[in-house]
Amino acid sequence: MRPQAHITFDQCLPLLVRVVRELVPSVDFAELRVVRDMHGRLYLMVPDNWSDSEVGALKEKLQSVLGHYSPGMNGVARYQDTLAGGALFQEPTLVHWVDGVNLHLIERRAMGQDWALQPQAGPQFHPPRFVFHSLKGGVGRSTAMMLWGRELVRQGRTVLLVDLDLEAPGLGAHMLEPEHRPVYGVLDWLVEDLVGNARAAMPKDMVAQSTLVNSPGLWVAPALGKRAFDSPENVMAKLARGYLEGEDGLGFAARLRHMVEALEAHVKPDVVLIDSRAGLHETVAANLLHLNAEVFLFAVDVPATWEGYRYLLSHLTQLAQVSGKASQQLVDWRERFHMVHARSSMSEADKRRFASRAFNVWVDTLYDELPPDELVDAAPAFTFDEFDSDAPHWPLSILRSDHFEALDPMMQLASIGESAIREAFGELFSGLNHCLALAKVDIL
Amino acid sequence: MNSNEQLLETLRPAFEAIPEEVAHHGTEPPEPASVYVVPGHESALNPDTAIVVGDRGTGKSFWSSALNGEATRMVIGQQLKRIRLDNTCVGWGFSSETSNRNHPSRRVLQRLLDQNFNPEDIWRTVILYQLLEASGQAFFEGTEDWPARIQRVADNPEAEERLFASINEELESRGERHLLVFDALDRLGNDWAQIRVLLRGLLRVGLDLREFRAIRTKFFLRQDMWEDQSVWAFPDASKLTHGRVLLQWHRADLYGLLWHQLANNARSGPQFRQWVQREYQCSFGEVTTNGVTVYVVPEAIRTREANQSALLQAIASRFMGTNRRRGNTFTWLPTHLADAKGQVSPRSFLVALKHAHTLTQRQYPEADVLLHYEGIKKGVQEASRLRLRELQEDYPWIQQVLDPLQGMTVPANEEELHARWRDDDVVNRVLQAAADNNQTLDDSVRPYLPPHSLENQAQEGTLTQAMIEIGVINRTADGRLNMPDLFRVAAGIGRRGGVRAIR
Repeated sequence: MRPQAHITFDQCLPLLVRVVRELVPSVDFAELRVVRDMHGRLYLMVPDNWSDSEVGALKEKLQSVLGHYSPGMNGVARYQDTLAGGALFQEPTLVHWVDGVNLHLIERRAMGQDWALQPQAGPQFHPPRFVFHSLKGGVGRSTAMMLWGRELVRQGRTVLLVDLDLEAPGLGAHMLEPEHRPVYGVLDWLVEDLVGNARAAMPKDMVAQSTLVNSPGLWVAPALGKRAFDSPENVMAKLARGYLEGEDGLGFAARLRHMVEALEAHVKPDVVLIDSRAGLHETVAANLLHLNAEVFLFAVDVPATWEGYRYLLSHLTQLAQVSGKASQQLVDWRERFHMVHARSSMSEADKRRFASRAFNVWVDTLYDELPPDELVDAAPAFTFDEFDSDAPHWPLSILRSDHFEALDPMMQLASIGESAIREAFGELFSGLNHCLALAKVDIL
Repeated sequence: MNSNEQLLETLRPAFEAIPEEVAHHGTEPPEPASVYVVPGHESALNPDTAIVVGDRGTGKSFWSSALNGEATRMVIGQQLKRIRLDNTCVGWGFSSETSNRNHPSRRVLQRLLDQNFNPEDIWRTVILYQLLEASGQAFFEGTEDWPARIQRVADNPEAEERLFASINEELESRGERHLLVFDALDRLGNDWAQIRVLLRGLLRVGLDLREFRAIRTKFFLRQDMWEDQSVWAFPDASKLTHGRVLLQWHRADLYGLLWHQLANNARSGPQFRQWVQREYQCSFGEVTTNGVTVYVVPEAIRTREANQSALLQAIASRFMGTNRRRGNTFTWLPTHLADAKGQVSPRSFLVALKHAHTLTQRQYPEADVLLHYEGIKKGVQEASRLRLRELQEDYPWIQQVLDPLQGMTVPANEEELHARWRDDDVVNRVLQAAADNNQTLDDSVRPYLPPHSLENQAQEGTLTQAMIEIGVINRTADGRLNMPDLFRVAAGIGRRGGVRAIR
């Protein structure tokens, strides 16, 4: 036998597809499921009518080809031979496009099953929600959120801001005096909920009104409350648990949704603004996909940003492979994603450069392929041209401005003129207002 | 029928009247009523601007002949008072015309070069001849044709220079100017070598004459000629290129043109103008020349996009489908008609609307709009076919270059395009077509010009560069090549996507 090549994570699925094709040329990949366990090893599930000799040959070959990524001789099974049986076939999957076929992959992860879940279909009843996400801090994400929230309150709306950036909390400190913080933070709810201790009464102790605006209605649910001041030593221990799956089997996304619903029931806001955790973390899926929200992806035009968004959107693409065609949802979740160009010079050239970079990522990930023989919009394909200002990759821009660098709103906001705010954030606000109008229509 | 339906009914003739033809041809001045004075074109029309660069269909020939026509020049002059067209006399320095009255035709020019006339002498003669015709001096007496006139100039440099100076003085003393317009410069010769020699000579003369402030020259150039470095390889060329102006149509200009069309249609105009007056409390200006009145689109709907968008909503679907996230008609239309440089030709814009109207009437007669989104989509497809045909007139090689790309998807790596062209031997076929076509050529036929640098660099990269120059493709930020929908669909090219179509 020739020595094995060093097989690593990325090569496994293509190798598996090749082996299956070779040994079972008549295979229909739609009937197969591949289970990837927590450590990354691959199990292949095949239809019940496959013969013993086929299954045996596959076991042997896959074990030798996949190397460390093979679980051994139990790496292939018919559905009927598994504990779960046919139910396994019905589990949610990611769809990987491998070597010309759609491969259905069941992901077993330590946490973050949410990444493999389709967004909930069907109508949902809640106030319009807006999620603000970025790959890194310091791009003005929280500032934009606070200022828009303040703007909406001035227009007479009630707004709830939720800080989900638990690792780098900011909203509480930025918007509430320490003595006005609520008792609990979002993190407390998530921890109490794990042991079934999150009471209906909790939301009233999780929110407080900010004085950043003179009129009432700017509610904040910070990541951490007063309890964290009293017991700071417990914060890390809570963070280690906050994202876990509950004992009742509910994943983080479902738990989070319950929390947001509970807060909404208490505050009764017209709009909910959610500050997402920054970066690429499995729990981000909950914010982006499972809150039925308008999602704003903040980006500074540097290579690291585009690299990061390529990883994020490539992953989401595996969900779009199925939902794009089969789902009966009113609004494709991809349509609710929007790019935000932070620290822009606002020049036309700058904007087009950003749009082009964003297009390069979207066209390789979340946009549908449009075959040459298909007429424009003959099918409602989800794809847009490079400089289409209606496209999700086309940015809403925020002007780079010294006023908002390292801003402490409690101390400095009063001294910044409204015209400076309008100049920097005006385009973003009008885009957000437009989405707010759309979101209302979609939800009702 | 309610009042809104009635209004829409009255606008139909204006859409039906939009002409189908490809573009403005020849030297006949356009109808005064068809002249929409684009706010951003003031510099291009200014006699002091020497170089005007425009892509196919941006209005080079249109403005050339509008400046040359008496009535049309007055229509422009009354709206753009600052550029003082009222005391400017205009004549053709070059055009597609072949009467040889104002200037030698392409065939005559070729003969003149064969006879070893100096290009600068040729153009100094053309300009002086026209100036003297106006002032009636006898310098050219006894010369029957262009060779004789040019010979006279070549033989009498001193007298010629004195004449330029004295004519300039005379014009200045009367507060007048004489403008020579040079259009259709891609028809100067049968191949790039000839065009370059003549064009370079012409531009040098233009530069020399800049000092005479009452004698103005204006050159309308195609984008690829402007990009051709060798044309500008003469001393002080930068003095001429410094103030060059690009002919561009912004979104507001396109809608302004539409309102102009509606307001100036004999049957639709009165109701449209009344309606705008009622809705926006602004009235149309009136410019009357030779008994013809042109209605001037008021500022409120000429440059202000919020008003333009509201006005469009009254006659067209607001969104491009039932899904409101798939695009706002006001932005969708220009976006989908834009080439790779973001430019929209006004002709394709109007034609798209004409077809959108026809299709709406035919297929969505019950719609409460004149332009239904399905009709608009089809209209844009029609316009994109027309745009490709239009481009083909200027760049006959485009089809040969696009054909092998059929079936691919964009954005694509440059190498993928090159490989397809190599397989089809496209570079040589384009060069061959140029060689064949220009054997027997009379004046009425356009020469087949290959991309200007292909003769020196016969390689696939030159084709890519040429396509970028004329806005058929562009390089995305990561270096791949993209083709806008305007050409992509007509060329049978798909768009890449991370989510694959299930076939």
